[in-house]
Amino acid sequence: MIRFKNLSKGFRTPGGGRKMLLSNVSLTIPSGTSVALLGRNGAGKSTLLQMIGGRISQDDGEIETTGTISWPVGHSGSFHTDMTGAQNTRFIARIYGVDSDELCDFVADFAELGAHFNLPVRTYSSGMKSRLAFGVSVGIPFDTYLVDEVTAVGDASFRAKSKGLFLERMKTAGAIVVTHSMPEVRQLCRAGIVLNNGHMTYYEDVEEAIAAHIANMGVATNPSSAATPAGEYEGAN
Amino acid sequence: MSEFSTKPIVDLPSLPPPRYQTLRVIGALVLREMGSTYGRSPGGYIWAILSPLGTIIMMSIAFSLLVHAPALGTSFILFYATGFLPFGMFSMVSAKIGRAVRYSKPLLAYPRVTWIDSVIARFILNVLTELVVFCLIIAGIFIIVDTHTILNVYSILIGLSMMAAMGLGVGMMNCLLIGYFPVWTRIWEIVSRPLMIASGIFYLPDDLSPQIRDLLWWNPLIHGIARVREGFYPTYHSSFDTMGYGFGLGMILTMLALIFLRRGHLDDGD
Repeated sequence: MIRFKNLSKGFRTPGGGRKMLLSNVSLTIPSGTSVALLGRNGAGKSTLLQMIGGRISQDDGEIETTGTISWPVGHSGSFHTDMTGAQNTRFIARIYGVDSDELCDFVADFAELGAHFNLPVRTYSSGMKSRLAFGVSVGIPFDTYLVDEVTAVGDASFRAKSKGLFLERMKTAGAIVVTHSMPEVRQLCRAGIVLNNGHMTYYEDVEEAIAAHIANMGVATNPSSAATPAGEYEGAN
Repeated sequence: MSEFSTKPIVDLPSLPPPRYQTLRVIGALVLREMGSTYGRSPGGYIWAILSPLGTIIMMSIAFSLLVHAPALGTSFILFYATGFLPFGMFSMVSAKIGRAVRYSKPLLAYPRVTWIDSVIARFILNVLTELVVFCLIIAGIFIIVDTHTILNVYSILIGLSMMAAMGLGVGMMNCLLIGYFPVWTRIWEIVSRPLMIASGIFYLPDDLSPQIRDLLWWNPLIHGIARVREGFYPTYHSSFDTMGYGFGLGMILTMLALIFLRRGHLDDGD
């Protein structure tokens, strides 16, 4: 369960003003639910994810969480490039107290790195790095997974495999998913939260959330084409 | 909604409760740092010990050609080591902690790792490394040079802890100042240069003229080094061995830094 209590967060704008991403928001996400976080570019979706993960602090209010919460799935920026994939995996296993050997076996098998698993991460291609990152995040049984735009990792067969594993995880765990791809939202999420002008609304049915989101975007056309270009600008990061 | 039950996963291990979480994270950070520092050199972390060892041997050879009689005892290398090694404890600990938060910033993406964990891990690892270096070099000198020294271990440990405490205080203060003013890295580099000369590594502060002595008294590092030397030279009693000053200043700096760092400046991003 994740509960926001009178949560507020803003950031300074270059003009000297203050833009509020969240103003006095209260909301509860039940345990084990996979929720899509929808909103236009710069609405504060990524910032909210980072606040749930504890990386960014809120201006006011509280975030109460139960159970374990992952780091953003597929985040590879924390790997030490001079250490091998195996060493990086062991480090994360130690932090979370899971068996290092088991996690290493799982990741080595899942990420299809072969002999590269025992070579420094600096020798990896970006695809290998993201496969490793995805394997490590999903290899640990969290209660809630935070997902920030994790699409297009690896080739088609790897994507299918990782999606399958992630859906398997979703049977027992919850997730908060930020993505601009509506088909993905429908596939991964049951519920939705729409973030608009500092306010959040929770919809138990993801279709209602998508409809509300599209209404906010002012696009009344085919919902599946509502994907926006990648490389969005998230102001407060 | 019924398909979203919260029963544990059967085929994969479930996450244990977060017991001893901080200890586990600190342990993992220490191991990670040992694996990654000198990660590109063959031999890895052994260089943390070999590098100061090489430095002290080269410096001793150079100095023994210039200076013949040390200010205390008969062995120049022992006199030099008893000053250089405690100073190394300070400079290594303060430098590593000063960069701790910046270095571990990417790790903060893992919700379990906090910046204070990285500071503690770096403190533990570097104090232990410097202690090992200290013991190895001193033991080596005793084997090669017959110095007839009677050690006062208590005094040596007090002196070294004082240097470690100052290292922690200065390192954390630098962490804070670099966070607010990135240019502080350069300023500190320049300002701290004379510390090497002003800490009584090559000479005894007691032999200097009264004016300089009074000025140098305010350098807490001199007190730590004097303590260590008192432990090696039973006849040496320095007027620079105040215990409260070094420890007190180190603790005040640490506390000030903690208060300001806790206010969340660091997690607001760049």
